[in-house]
Amino acid sequence: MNNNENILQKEKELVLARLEVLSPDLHFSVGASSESYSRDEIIKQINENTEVGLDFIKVELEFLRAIKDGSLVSSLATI
Amino acid sequence: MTRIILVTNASHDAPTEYLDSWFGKIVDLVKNSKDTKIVELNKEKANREMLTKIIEEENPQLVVFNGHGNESIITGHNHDVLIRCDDNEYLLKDKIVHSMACESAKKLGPKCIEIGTKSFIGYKEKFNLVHMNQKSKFEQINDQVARFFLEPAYEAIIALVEGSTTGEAFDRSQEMYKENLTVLLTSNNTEYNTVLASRLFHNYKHQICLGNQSASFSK
Repeated sequence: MNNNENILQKEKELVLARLEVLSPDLHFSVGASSESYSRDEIIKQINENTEVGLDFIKVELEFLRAIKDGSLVSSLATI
Repeated sequence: MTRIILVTNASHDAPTEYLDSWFGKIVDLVKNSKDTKIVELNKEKANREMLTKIIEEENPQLVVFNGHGNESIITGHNHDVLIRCDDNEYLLKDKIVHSMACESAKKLGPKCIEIGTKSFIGYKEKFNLVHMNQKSKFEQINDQVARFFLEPAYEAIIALVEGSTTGEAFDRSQEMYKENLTVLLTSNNTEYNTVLASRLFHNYKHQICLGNQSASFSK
């Protein structure tokens, strides 16, 4: 397993761990898809490496990086 | 002379039904405004032919798209293409546009500004909506999870109806996004996990107001 795959696997595990504590009743609608995915369906999409699953990971990482680099807090501090 | 809002409500799946239900709040607001008329193209009527006809006949100053899309198109009922980049964006010349269609502010929005749209408020990336998958309008409007996502998005339209410039309307929407993000990040309610905040942060970060920031929805 190369470095990128290793990082991706860890990122995936992190996102899955965050999802698993959510209410199973929540549904996610993303983009032009007519589908609304339940928590468990999103977990399945991530595990199967679908476009929906990869997009979901991307948005999670965007958020976690914004916490890390301080840009999220900076945004909220201007309220 | 009356101010006119034209809105397309695709309303053919869960996300677009939620948009339609929540737009009802703006319809109620407009009912109390004597100088504003709203023309709704709902469901099957949200098609290209009707859109073209209404724009030519009514000349609305504000056009609102509640549907899907991508960086080059905005769609109506059953994904019928309403506006396509390099095809019929001229219909939006001299208008203020509010688009919920995903990514439409990436390529189509700038093209609209180039051909004379006054201002275009929309999203450069995919719009995220988290909800409880409710079915009736009443349940959808009272969905306390969807509220975090749709209230800030529609705040921009409410501000425009109330007389704000597009720049001010965008700022009001962004402020509400931040307020809701703060609630999600600090809530003791375990239902409001930060996964919801991540989705909301995405919408906040990728919302944009293109064109003249001083444009207003006036007669």
